[in-house]
Amino acid sequence: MSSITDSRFCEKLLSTINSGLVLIDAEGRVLLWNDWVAKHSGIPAGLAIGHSLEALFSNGLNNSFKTAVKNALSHKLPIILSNALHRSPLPLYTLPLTQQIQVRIEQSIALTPIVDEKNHYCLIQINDASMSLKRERVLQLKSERLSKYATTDGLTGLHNRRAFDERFKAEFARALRHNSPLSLVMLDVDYFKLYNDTYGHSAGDKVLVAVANALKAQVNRATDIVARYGGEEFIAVLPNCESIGAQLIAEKFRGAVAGLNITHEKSDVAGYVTISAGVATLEPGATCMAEDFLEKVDQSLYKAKHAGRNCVRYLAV
Amino acid sequence: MNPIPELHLDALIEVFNIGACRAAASLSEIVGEEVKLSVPHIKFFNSSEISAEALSLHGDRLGDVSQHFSGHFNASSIPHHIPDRTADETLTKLPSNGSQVSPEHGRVVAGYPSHTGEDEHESLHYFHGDAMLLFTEERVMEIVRDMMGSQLSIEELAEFEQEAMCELGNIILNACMSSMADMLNITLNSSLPTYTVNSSEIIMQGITATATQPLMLALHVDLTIERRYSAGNIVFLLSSSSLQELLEQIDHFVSGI
Repeated sequence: MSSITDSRFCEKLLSTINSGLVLIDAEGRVLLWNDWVAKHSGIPAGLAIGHSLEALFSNGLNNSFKTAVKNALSHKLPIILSNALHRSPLPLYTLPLTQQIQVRIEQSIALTPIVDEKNHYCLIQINDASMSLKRERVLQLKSERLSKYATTDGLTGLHNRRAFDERFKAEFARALRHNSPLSLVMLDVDYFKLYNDTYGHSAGDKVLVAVANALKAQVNRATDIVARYGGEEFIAVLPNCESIGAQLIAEKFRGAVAGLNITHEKSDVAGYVTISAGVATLEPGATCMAEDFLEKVDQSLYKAKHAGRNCVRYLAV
Repeated sequence: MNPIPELHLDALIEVFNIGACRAAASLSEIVGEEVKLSVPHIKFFNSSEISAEALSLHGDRLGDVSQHFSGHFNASSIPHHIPDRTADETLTKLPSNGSQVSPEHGRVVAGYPSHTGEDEHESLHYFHGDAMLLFTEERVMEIVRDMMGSQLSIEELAEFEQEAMCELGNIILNACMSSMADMLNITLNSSLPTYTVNSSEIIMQGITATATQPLMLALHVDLTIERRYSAGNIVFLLSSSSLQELLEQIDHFVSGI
């Protein structure tokens, strides 16, 4: 039974280790080349030993890596070659090497000097950084999805489009189930692009915030939501709200925004910021597709625009 | 504060500026853009008085790259030849009026007698300690982002980029330490760098708690990358046994020529 200090046992250990180990001497020649490196470089130990890395990888070594090895051998201080800054300094590839498109392994390298009385060496440890990178990417993607799912519109603090879509779907289904009325009010700031052109986008943003606040102040039922539907478009979902009630609320919206008295000299409607509002109501017992309902409220907004803006128009579903 | 009155501080700064030059060369090669590093001044502290404020590190969170090193120096002899300075190790020193001076030093051979092994009064001084590079987290991320050419915000900077911060610290520490070692003609051993990032308080507490020596040397490192210059917020801190003797050795060597 061989002892663990037996050199053959040590060699076995080196060939089992799941990362790259290369030992070079003071002149940069390879003394040790473990199985992992042989496998991923396509260069067997027999061919590697005795040669310098530059000779073995004549096309593959960049200056940073060469400088690092030079420094490790001369100053004998340990060096880290981070994956972030160096990516794949050595030509090592994922297996099988015979695949058509060779993928270079993302590497994380440490150069550790080894000094004994007579000689010095440098141990090059190579770790495959692909797994950590994959993990990072997965986390990044998850966090992006979470951000998207966040339901608040950054600028106005209202529900965002995604939140509206989900809410509307739910309320629509409920209204059908319970045979209860459901109203939508879609509104749009009149001549908003013109406002931006006249007063600048920053001022435009402030108007949107002011409008959003004015709208929010008009709804006080927990089930009613006001959302930012588009750039200058807003939409309110009013469950259990009949057409008359919805039109009244829409008129309150219109009045509240007009009441802000924000100067808009280029507006053809009034000298201040106004909104046009379209209302649509799904009456109890009526049925349609959710998309048709949205289409209807869109049409009623269109009617309001065509009626001269700064007004409310209603369409039955 | 100069606890070692015989020390010529500017001689010491020269040693570290050579290190800074080396580090800048390595960094420039990695980034592919011009990186400049310089050490404008040196300070000494009692280990007990070290604090983020004293080091002018203004930030909530600090990064700390640390390497433990050891070596031997011969206390009774002065090295009898200067290791060659390479052509690009020109000295960039910032005198107090802020203008840049780049003297080029020619090769000088010291005329000191060499001490042979037969001298019984020689003693090999073993020393060891910690070399640390401290940055405000904000600053180091800025640097790493610049180095990676990345547009990521601080929140988006992934964990694997911490390895990059570790490398940045490692490059600067190695350059300063090797510069010292060259002056003393000795071999230094060092551990691989470790990197921690934490609140300023915790980092500083860690440093004062583990300081085994009464004296510490602190250098401010100015780094310019992609022509974006921003002084401060990088500090090289050295805590070593026999720090006094080490520094005296270096001083004798550099200023005695």
